[in-house]
This record gives sequence, structure tokens and C-alpha cells, in this order.
Amino acid sequence: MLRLSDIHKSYGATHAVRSVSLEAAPGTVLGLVGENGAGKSTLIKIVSGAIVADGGGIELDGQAVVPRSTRHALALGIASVFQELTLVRELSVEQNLFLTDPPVRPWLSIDRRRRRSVATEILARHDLDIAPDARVGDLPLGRQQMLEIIRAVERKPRVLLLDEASSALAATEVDWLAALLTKLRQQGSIILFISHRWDEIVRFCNRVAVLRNGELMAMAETDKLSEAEAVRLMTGQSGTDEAFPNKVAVHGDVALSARELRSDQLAGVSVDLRRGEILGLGGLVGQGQGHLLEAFFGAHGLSSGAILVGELPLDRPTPRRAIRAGLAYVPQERKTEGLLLLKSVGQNITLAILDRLRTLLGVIEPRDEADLIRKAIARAKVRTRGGGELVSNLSGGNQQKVLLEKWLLAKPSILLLNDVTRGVDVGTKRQIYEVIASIAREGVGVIWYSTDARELVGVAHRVLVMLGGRVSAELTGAEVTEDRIVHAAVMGSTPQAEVHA
Amino acid sequence: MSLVDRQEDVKETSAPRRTPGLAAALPGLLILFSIGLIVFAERVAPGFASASNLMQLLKLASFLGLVALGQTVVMLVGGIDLSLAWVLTASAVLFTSICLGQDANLPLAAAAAIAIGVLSGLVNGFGIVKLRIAPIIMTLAMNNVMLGATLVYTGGNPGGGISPFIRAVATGSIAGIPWMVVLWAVVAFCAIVAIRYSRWGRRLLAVGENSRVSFLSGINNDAIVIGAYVFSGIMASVTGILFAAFSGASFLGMGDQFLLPAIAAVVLGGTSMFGGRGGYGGTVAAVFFATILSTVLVIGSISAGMRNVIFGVAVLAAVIAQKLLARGEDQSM
Repeated sequence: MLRLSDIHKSYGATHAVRSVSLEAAPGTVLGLVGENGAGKSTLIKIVSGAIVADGGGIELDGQAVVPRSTRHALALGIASVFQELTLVRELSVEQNLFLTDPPVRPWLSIDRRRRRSVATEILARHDLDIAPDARVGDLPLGRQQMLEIIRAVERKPRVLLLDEASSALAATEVDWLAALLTKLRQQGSIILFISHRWDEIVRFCNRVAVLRNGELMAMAETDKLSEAEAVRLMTGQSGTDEAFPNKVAVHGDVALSARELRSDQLAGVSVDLRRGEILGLGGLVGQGQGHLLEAFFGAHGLSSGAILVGELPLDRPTPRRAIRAGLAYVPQERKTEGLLLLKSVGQNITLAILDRLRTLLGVIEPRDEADLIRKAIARAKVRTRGGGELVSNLSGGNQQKVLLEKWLLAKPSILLLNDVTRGVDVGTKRQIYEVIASIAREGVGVIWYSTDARELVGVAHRVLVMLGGRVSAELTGAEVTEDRIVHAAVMGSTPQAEVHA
Repeated sequence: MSLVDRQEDVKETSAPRRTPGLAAALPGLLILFSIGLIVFAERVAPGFASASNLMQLLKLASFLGLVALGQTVVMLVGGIDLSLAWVLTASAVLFTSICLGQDANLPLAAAAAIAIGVLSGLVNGFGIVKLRIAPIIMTLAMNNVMLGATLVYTGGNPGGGISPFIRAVATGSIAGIPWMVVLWAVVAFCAIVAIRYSRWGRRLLAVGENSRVSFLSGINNDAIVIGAYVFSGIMASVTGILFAAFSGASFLGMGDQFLLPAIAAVVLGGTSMFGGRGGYGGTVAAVFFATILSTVLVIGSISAGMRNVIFGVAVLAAVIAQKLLARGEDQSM
């Protein structure tokens, strides 16, 4: 029996996990579901020893345990597999299987022959058609993930944690995982399983825990929880504490269109954006939304597809060409992609428009620039001592305003926003909503990726939900509801009609 | 008078900061140390602080100052140029061999010499940007290529000669101020202004600090980085020409004495080895300091071995001081 009681974990002011208690009996496959940031991964990481809880206790078979590291957790009988692979790509399959404890001869040299035979036996027992001497990096991603799972299972853990460990598996490989989990269940193992795919949850898990905002919303038998009910629990009754500006749909001509964009992250995406439209991009984290925005801006390499800005094709796009064509892109990572932290507020604000500043022999006209910076700071209400202050001195929200202003100053006709309100205080959020709404009213087309479904409902005229590098659903007008966005994001394909609002 | 001006520049290049900035004060400190050394030397050897002697010191410093400008620009984009030693030598050798002591040959000789700097810089930049070779390896290899090519070209005996005009520039004076000092002052002023206030300077510092941010801001990173190496190559070539003119001839290995002092001066002057922070004002201050210190050690009739020890320790101490002063700022990044 695995018992978690009153688990807490905060990062700064945000509660990642709040007072979560749950139990799993031997032979249970417990599915953890919830939106991005609901606390699923944090919870699993606490059990796996990757992070330590701020409060609460873990009990395994009646004994209190405190996993201090993943290694310690393994010794306690808790093994974990995460979405990110931990295999050494340069080594062979057998070397990876016995990375920490290879079979050795009495004089401590590695017994290669035994390693080969044991590895062959393990692979055969698990029905895996991989050569033991194959280099792991040469295997397809799905096979690598299977190998990772096997390595954890071979430790014979009491508790197996799978955090999106099925994300790279193809359909037949998912069948394989189903069979494996059934076998482990029969042997009395306890399995915690995170997946963003509802069909996998239904198939693998006999119990489900629904998390929202770090809190446990419900624990239920899988067959007693309907899809719609699960979605309702994940999103909650869509409260509207944040004041969103009125949506004024001023849809003009097509400002930006993309045809069949393909890359290693995009599987054929077509988009049309009109002037004055705010087009939301939704879906689970990492389904290609950010890459799509970067592709428009020339920062993500495409293998095929065409981009048109108005009527003009954007050939071999680079950020430089994209900016000239009237695009602006506000990246997600403010500190590593957006701002120069060693530079002043002013230097950051004018970085993207250096070409347009008045200069004398290449030397920037200082009064002109100072004037521009002063106006930008005033317009965005940035709290700073002035344009000369180091941008890293500002609070996160104010830095975000500087970043946004940097791109508004470029006077784009198309604005691409990559989750720009993440980690920003409510007041600044509201201000950002208003600024974006007002430039959209002036005819700027906006594509806005947000990990916050409620935000999309509040700001977007139309929402594209992405899954696995393609658009899985398009929601317009009254269809743009949190339920439908989350439904399309988690369940894939198009939401079913019977989902109530 | 020029000392005071430069101190101003130093503050400018390092601003803006969280506080007035202790790290920013270091180049100023170097100037203070230099003045202290001058006062001390004047007491040991009266006449050291005379205007004419100081001008001679500045003239000596100007050659290092010019090479160090190229190194400053390269280090601002987070690179390093180890090839400048033999790019300098190769340029000087080619220059004298074409010039042959005739002013008439001067334009062609200078163009050929500078072409060496441009070409080596282009190759350096291309290898570093397009082939992603580490700057230290790329430029070290280039240094060897230049060394070998120079040996092959000269057969071990550089020939030719300096023409009267360039000789006059490198050794002559106007109103008691050496032409080299005038030239260096003009170059320094332009460089400080360009790095701090021009579009190019902003891009240089942006690429050096965070190439992802600069790329996403529409800056052509590759062009900026390649340009920095080309610029460094040109500065090495120009210094090679002038130093050959100053010495009266080109000779093998004439660039080696500049390599480490140039790197030391840039770092000492507060330019971050990781790029994105610093400027030429600090380098100028450090070049003063280094030149005055080594001269004082010579006057103090300290043995050559001991001079090297003291010089090395002084540079190390200044770099450590800079690290300690800058620590608070780095942690807050």
C-alpha cells in the first residue's frame, strides 16, 4: 500500500501541490490527470525523490519513507520513468541496461558474456525485438522509451512511476505497455501513471486522481468517471476573476497564412490569420505551438510548407526578414530569449528597431532615442527609475512590459505571442490583455499561444488546439470555452457534441 | 589632461549599473595606480614624470593599444583572437618586402598587408561561425598557418625596407606630441563612441551577451561575429605596419610580444571574457598601467626574471580584484 498524506510543495508564492492525500493498494494502476501546472508531475517527482516535499508524509507498506534522491527512492523500491530519457545514447542497449550494476567477475572486471546473455534474456522476456549490442541513439524514440521502462521494471520495484512515459510510443508499442502493466498489476505492483491521453488512462488505469491547481479534486474508479466529468473537474467551473477586455471582432483581410508547415516538430499545419483578429493557440505543453510561432518568425527550420504575409511569400524566413515583413515575436523565455539582462531598459527597448533609429555616421542620435524610450516606458507604465536602469533590476511583470514594448515599438502588422503572461502578476496580466486588445482593434493580427485555457477564452476570437504537431481542433465564436479547449487538448481530435458548457 | 578624459570614458563604457558600480571603477583604479607609479618613479629617477618622457611612454603604449582594440572587439562577442601575433608579423613582413623603402610603393604595400588581416579574419570568423570551431582552436591554428607562411615566404630572412613617410608617422612628433599618440587618441575616441553609441556597438554587445536574444531581435549574428574577427585582423595588420616602421624593419616573431599583453589588457580593463560586457576605455587604462609598470620595473633595475614575476603577479592581482568587485553583480544575473 502506498499512502501519501497531506503533501505540500510551493515554489515561491505558487503552490504546486497543496495538501494532497491519496492511497494506492497493491495491484493498482492509478492515473493522474489534470491541466498543465495542475501538480501531477510535482507529485510524482516528490514520490520519486527527484524533489523533496515541503510537508506531508509518504508511507509504503506501513513504513514512513522520505525519498531524498531518485537513487535513494530506488533503494526503497520506488522506480521512475520520465518523459525525458535518461539512457546514454552513445552506449549499447546492454550497457544501458546494466549501467550502474554490471555483472562482474570476481576480480571486478565486467563479465561481458554474462551481460550479453542476461540482456538477451531480459529483452526476450519483455518481447522486445532489439539487438543487445545496438547503440541506443540509433534506436527509434519509441524503442528507447520501451527500453527505459524495462530498465525500471527490471529493478523489481514496489512502486513504478510513469510520468508521460508513453508519450513517444506508437500504437503497437502502447499495446505492449498495456500488456506489461497488466502483468505488473497481477504481481501486486503499484503504478502511478501520468498521461495526457485520456484513452490511455481509461485503458491502463483502474483508478483516477484528478488534480487542479495543485489540489486533489477527485479520486474515482476509472469506469465510474466519464470523460465530460473528468474535464469539468480538471478545469473547474470557469471562474472569471480576471477582467478581460471586450472582444471586438474587426476581421479584415488575411494578414498571415501558412500552408502545410512541416518540420521535426510540426506535422502539417495550416493557419489563416486576419487583420484585427486574435487567434489563440491552445493545447498541452509541447505540442508544437511554440515551434509554429517560431516557424513564422524564421526561428524554427521548416522542411516544407509556405508562409504568406498578406499576398507576399516569406521565403527562407529569418527573424531579420520576418521583422522587415512586419512580424514581431515575443518569446516565452523572457530571461534567455527576450531580454539582455546586462543591458539597460532603454537598450533593450530599442534593440529590435536599431535600423530605424536616427543616426549620424552610424552613431545613434541620443536625444531621439531617449525620447522614444521615455515614451515607451510611460505608455507601458513600466515601473523603473529610467531608461538607464539595468533591466534585470525590474520585477518580472515590469520586465515583461519592457519586452512587449520592445516589440510594439517595431509597429508590427502581425504579433506573435508565446505564453507571455506566464509567471506574471494579475495586474500586469490585465494591462497586457488591454494593450493587445487595443492593437488588435487597430488592425494588427495576433497569434497568441497560452498555456492558460481560461486566458484564451478571455482574449481570443478563435482558438486552434494543437496536439502532436498538428491542429486537432478549431473553435470559433461560442465554441471557445475552457471545457472544449481542454477537451480537445487532452482527448485529441475534435470535442464531442455532448460536452456541456 | 588625456588621463582625465579617459577616466571619463571608462565610466561611460561601463555604465549603466545597479550602483555606481565597483567593477566599473576598476579601470579608474588602474589609472590611479598608474599615477602612483609615475609619482614613485619620479622620486627614484627624476625626470620620469616630464612631459617628454610621458609622451615617449604613450608612444610605446600606442602599439599595444591598437592591437588590444581588435582583441577587445573580439572578446566583446565572447571570442578570442590568438592569431594576431603572427597576423601582425606576416603583415609587417609583407609590407616591408613590397614597400622596399619607397614611398611610391606605400599604398600597394599597405593594402597587401591589410589584406592579410582581412583574409585571416574572414577565415577565422567563417570557421568559428559556420563550422562552429572553438575560437581558441581556430585562431591558434590560424596563428600557426601565418607563422609557417611567413617562414616560407621569407626563407627566414625578412627583407625590404620602411619608407620615409611611414617612418615619420611611427617615430615623429607634432608640437611635442608623437604622431602615434595622436593617431591612437583619435582611434580610441572613435572606438569608444562606436562601441557605446553606434548601432554596430549595440549589436556587438547584444550578440556577445546572448546570441539567441540578438538573433530573435533581427540581428545578423554571423555577420557581426565574422566582422569582429576581420576587424581584429585589420588592427593586427595596421599595428604590424606601424611597429615595423617604428623598429626600422620587420623581423620574425615581432608580434609575439603583443599577444598575451593584449589579452591581459582587455581582461584587466573590465571586458568580460564571456562577451557582452565592457568596452575600449577600460582596455586603454589597462594598456597605460601595463606599459608604465613594465617601464618602472626596468628603471628600478630589477632583473628580467623578477620583472616578469612582478608583472605577472600584478596582472593576476588586478584580475582577481576585478572578479571580487564584480561578484555581487554576476550573482544577481
